[in-house]
Amino acid sequence: MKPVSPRVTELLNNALTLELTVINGYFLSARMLDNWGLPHLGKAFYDLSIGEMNDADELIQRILMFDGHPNVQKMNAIQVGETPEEMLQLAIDSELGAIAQFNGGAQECHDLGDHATALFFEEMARDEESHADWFESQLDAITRLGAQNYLAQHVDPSSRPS
Amino acid sequence: MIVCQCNVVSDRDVRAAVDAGARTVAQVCRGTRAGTDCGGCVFTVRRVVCQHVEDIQSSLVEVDSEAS
Repeated sequence: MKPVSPRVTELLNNALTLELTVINGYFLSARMLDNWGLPHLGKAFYDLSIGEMNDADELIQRILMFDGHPNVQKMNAIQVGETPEEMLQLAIDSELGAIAQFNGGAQECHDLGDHATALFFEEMARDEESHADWFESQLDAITRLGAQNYLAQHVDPSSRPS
Repeated sequence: MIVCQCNVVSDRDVRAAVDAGARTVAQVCRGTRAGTDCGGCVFTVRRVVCQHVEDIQSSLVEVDSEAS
């Protein structure tokens, strides 16, 4: 099936580029947090990474439905935090960037008359909003509790060497 | 944060290179080795360099205005 405009597949591919970037960024953050002994926070990043991978899957399928070619080679530059707080801040920045990009995509699709793809972008924007909000709450908690108290909640005292 | 994943160069390393006298993105890359492998981070490096140079300049302006 052909899209109303080639711009639609371009927008979907741009979104795919963004998703592929955050998948890798979150995944590395997850494993770095595990390595620092903070598996609970690591699990949150791990789950988000897998969630974004599902988004990438849906984007790939939609691009293919429009007889386009999903560009899985292209990624934006990755920035990895060197502390848990920096990871959370960078995650907020990237989620806010994603929300802006997806809202822009939705608007363009509405203007082109492709309301289904617009809705697809809107749903992704809402997902990213909830992620941004979660990250923001974590930084709020750090402000209230102090980084050490916050991070103490993310260790796993029951873990033993395997 | 780590900006160059290939050679593990942080934004602090980039700013330190500027503080040590590097004045162009190319000089920063040569000095820190950031962006010298896949090159995917050069725009990030440029952003960090420009921001830092701007910060240095605005702090100089502040010093000037305080002194006058």
